[in-house]
Amino acid sequence: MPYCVNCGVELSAYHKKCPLCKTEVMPSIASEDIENTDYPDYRVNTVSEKKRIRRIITGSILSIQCVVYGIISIFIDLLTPQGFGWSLIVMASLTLVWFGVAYPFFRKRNTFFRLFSYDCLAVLAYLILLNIIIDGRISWSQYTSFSLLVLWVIISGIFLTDRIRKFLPITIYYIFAALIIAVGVVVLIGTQPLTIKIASWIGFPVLTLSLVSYFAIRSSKNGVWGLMTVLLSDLAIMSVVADLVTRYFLLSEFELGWHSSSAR
Amino acid sequence: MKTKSDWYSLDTSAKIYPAIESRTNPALYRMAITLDEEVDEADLLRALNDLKPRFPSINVHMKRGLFWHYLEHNKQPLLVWPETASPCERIYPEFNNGYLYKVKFFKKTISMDTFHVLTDGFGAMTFLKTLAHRYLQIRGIIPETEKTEYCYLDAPAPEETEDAFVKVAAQKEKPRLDKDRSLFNALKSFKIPTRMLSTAENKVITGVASTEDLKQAAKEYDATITQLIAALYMEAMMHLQAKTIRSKNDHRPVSVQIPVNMRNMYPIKSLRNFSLFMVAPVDPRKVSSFADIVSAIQDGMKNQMSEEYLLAMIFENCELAANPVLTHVPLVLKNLVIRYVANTQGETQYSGTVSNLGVVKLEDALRPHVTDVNFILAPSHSEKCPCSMAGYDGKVYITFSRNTKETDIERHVFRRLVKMGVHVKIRSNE
Repeated sequence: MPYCVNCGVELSAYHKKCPLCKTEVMPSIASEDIENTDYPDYRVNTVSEKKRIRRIITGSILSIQCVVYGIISIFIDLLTPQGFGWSLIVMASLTLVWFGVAYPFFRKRNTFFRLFSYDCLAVLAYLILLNIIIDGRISWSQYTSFSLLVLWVIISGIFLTDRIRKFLPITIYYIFAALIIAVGVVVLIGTQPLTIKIASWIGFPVLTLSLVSYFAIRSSKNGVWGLMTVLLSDLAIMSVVADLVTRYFLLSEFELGWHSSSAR
Repeated sequence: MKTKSDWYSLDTSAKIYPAIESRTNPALYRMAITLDEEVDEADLLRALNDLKPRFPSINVHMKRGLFWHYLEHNKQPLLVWPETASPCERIYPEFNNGYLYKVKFFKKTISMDTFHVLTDGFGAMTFLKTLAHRYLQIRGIIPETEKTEYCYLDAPAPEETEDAFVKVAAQKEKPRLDKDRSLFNALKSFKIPTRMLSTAENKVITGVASTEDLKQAAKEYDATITQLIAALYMEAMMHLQAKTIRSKNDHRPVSVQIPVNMRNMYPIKSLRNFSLFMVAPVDPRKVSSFADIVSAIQDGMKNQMSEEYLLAMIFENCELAANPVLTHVPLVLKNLVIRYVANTQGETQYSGTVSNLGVVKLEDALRPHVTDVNFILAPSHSEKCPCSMAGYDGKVYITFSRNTKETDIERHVFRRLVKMGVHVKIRSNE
């Protein structure tokens, strides 16, 4: 009978390696006979495979439906006397539907956060596309898109609560959030050259804030609630900072304004 | 129209499982019996069909109500499955004709993967023993005249399908404990930090040791076999914590969850869930030797194994399940709340589980034909390396299942056992 020289345990005859420490059993001792294995060797999870195939079929049917509806609408649009136009909106809507409903069926693993992120991105792209199709330029969609982006940042912060306890992820998250707010504010009400200056001015308080938050989270006893409180207070502080910085640079004034409702 | 006898509400402790069950937390376990001859698929299926009316609470499918899940008699044909390389795979009822358990066969072994909603280890082992008995009767090895406790020809007793928690709570008075106890402890326990295997495979390592050797080793610490293995398990966890988390200030308590079969305390015949869990925590900074860990477990067990304490837990569970606010919340919301509480409060209370099924007692006619038994707990995202034990024929089968690559826990436990003079034989699916 083979033994593992490291662990001192006896191994079943079919083992060529010790399952505990992976030390190879000497070939003269290891039995080539696999008749007495306790488990089969095949590693196909038939049930999971079946489930996956069923999901792919469902996704494919939904995709085909989207494509067929798209082709029909283009065809009808081309036949109408006004000329090609409105079917673009239908195509954009169908793309949104495909992304939100059919695409998750093709993925091996879906988490709520991922689905939420896909949906946010899809809606964002849809709004911009719709705006361009209707008005020929980006106008009203920038406000709704930006609100959606800020909402995504806040929600993702809450969803990442379990992974955010380490210093580096929390810092990256805050910098990312600050950049989005800064860029958004500059794009909406400011001018492009100021973006880097404003982002860096917001960046320093954010770094300090992430350091303070890191220690606050570490010392908080009641994990999730403590984390959420810190996260929400940080968002409030960040909006104050973003407000003051953008006002200072863009309007040359230094007083509290648009952020006050969110900070309260 | 459905009558009361066509369906069962989930028992008190089963109510949590449908909410927390997922791809990474299958909430199931396996019982296995190895016979002295190769298993025949057709005869096994015949035996399973014969048992169907005898175990009505097991041959069910789960349905969603507005407020709770419930179990309904399943009229679909039963299935037996060839074994796969990864034991304790999640059960997808839609591919199993709605059944919440799977009977598998491989060479001489019959195994049964059971979703915890149906029953606990006692109920599943009773079912499997009866199945093996009936199978050997069909094969002509055991005479038809040889009856078991749960003979397939008998009608099921109503006590076998009752909710034992409710029954005990109705019979006893609620105890008043002097010291405060709460459902959840504020302290979170250490968890195995390694990542799960992306292939969703379960690795299983079983160490077979002599009961006498283990008793001898346990005697040195004045402990039982369960306490010895639980202490070794905790020691392995502490070593892993010291290896993975350098700062001692960040070290968390290591605690092990040990299920207790409540049938040993109350004369209950129910084949549904009737077990509770005791949690023994140890602060790594306060123990200096292995004997300290053993005594910490013994203290924990002494406090939590008293009838008064366990009865208080039964009442707590029943009151929570019967809470009027919780009862009238729609199932969708209730599942979200249960999952959130289980993830943030329940599963953080312990580092791992050591479950001892005890000595499996077989009837005289069956015993000569059974060479091995085994009991395996399915690993999950929160419990990556649970340990389970079963005793049979002078041997103890200690099984570690895991969904990670590393084998730190089982390697430590088995090496320590060898150092204590226990002969261990390893078998695995790797």
